[in-house]
Amino acid sequence: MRKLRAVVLVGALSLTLGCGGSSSSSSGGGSAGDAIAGCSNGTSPSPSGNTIAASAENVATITVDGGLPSLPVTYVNGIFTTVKVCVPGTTNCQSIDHVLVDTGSYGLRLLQGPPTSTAGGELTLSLPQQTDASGNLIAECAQFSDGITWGSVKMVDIFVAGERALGVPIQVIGDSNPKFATVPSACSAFGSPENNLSKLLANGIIGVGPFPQDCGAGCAPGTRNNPGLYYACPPSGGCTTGSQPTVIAVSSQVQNPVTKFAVLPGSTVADNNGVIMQLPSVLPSGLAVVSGSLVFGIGTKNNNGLGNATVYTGDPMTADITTNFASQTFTQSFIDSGSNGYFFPSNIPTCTGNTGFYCPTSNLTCSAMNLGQNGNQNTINFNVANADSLSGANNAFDNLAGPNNPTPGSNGATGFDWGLPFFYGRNVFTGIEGARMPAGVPPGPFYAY
Amino acid sequence: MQISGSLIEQATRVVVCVSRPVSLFLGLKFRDPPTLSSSVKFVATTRIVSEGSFEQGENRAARISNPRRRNINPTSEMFVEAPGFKLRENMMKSSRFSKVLQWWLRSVSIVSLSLCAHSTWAALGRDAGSVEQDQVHMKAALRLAHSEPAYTVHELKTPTGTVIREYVSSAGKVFGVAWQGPWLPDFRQILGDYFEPVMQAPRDRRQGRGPLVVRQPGVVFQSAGHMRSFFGRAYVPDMLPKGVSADVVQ
Repeated sequence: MRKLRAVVLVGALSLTLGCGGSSSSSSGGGSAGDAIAGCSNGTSPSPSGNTIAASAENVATITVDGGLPSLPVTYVNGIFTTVKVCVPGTTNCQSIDHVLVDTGSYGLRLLQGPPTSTAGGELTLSLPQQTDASGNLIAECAQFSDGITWGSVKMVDIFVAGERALGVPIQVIGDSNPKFATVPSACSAFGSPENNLSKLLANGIIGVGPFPQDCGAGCAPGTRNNPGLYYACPPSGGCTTGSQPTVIAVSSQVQNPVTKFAVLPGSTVADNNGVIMQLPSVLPSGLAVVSGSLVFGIGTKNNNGLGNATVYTGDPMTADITTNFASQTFTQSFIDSGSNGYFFPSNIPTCTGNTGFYCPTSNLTCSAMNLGQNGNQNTINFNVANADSLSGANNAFDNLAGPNNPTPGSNGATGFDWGLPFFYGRNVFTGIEGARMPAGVPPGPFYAY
Repeated sequence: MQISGSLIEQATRVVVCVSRPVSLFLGLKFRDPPTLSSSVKFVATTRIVSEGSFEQGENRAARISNPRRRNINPTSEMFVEAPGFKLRENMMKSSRFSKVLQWWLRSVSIVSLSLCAHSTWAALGRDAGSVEQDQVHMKAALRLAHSEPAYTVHELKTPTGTVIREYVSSAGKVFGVAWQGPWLPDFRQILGDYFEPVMQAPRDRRQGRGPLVVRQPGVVFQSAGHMRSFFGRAYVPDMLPKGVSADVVQ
């Protein structure tokens, strides 16, 4: 009780400081004591009171639970759901748990497991292979900031909650078929393969972000600027180190499964234009387990209206919004459930234990402003705790942050990464590019909260 | 190593990938800004083709085809025509020099293609000339973006829209690279000798997914962003010019 009062008191104080205080320290930082640009000592109250949708056919349960028990590391702020995949048109299916819910990517990617994988674990189902017109085997090299995933493109029927997406291309990461065993050097040039559990830290990734495919027209026939995500490998020999990227029709690329959801019986529209992530708030000391709802569709049912959320439209090419923080402008900012902290440049000391996170000498409350391309803006107060001091027994923290690239200078863009901590206590909408939106809702890509 | 049409609009300084010193090429100039066709390949030098050795005008990309079949005057000037442009060698002082050069030109166009395609040369930690190699490898348009007393910034724009900035110290070393754009850059190319150490290194943060930070004694690598929008940088702390912060690499 005493602790709680202290938190509220300091929180009120820092709110007062938050508005004007963010510009009080120069970005040089550190000359006057240990002033942290954009932040001050204390703790702001976390957002709370958001509605968590009850169970429904368009609502999947999402959980922060520390990740796969079989892994030696605990996945902090990893948000997972369960996806059922079937051989198209059959009842030959497998449910796969601990699939990371990621608003920063697009498409379903499942890690191939060994044949001994138990139910609920990695993919063991044998799925039909995507091929091109010449019968070549299609494989993909998907790009993430922390590495690449390499594997075949397969067709599946996807079932999540009561939704279904039939005959959808997905990526099978680390396909055990020897024809996909070799990562082409043109692919590994983009990063280290995350083709096993210890690298991926999940049984898969369900990318439900604001684009319908992971590549789009840039990887399709007629492109003049193929970024090289897809490969066509001969059916006899398979992929080799020398395999080169190919083009592939947009409809054959790995698809954001939400865009492929069918109209449910009794409905007139599909829940296919976006998602809402709804997570409750967590205590400053964190929680071991947090559960919430992943709601499919925006304004397509009576449980997924925009309500009083504000839309922040993104860059049409990247979905990025702008964040102002510490007198700096971050034009490549994004709201990413697949990042497990807030990541931004700061002179907050980094940790010696949990390297890659911040370890301020005392709790900090920081203030930033998000701006959509539509001009909507919103000031956010968020907390940064000492990551080395956070309880190892807990897995969900709304005050976990870490460093990112340096502040944007004359050269322009870097981004503020609003990771999973941002989602606690909020309903965060992701509107998909090109999808039909209800009246009054602008076209995607956008975020809303 | 064909230079594709998409870069042609703003192509490009030209780089010859060679396996031996080519100081002979000092002075190679493009007489006319090339209009590139599909058959255009390239020529280039690395250090050789310094900023000053080109005429003004940024549209450059070239192919040296068989010079013997072109208009070559071996005693004074040398013209190498290729579809849409001409190269001129105007520093040839002796017939011996020119013979070497002719031989070299004859052999270079095909040979250098394969050299480039399999080049392990790259930017970070290497000499300034490797900027051009990156440019050729990534089919990028290059411009000198920024110049400070202690370093210069070369900006490469790849056809896929990713911009790469390479930071070259006055000592001629690439001490940092930064990137931003819809797709990741070819790290094998721009990290050079640091590629394998960076890729093999343990990550700073192992408790989940998110931006990647690698800190090795010799190199710092940070990669962030998300699908369709990435940004990041790498730098060699020991090569930072005196008084220059790593924060300039961005």
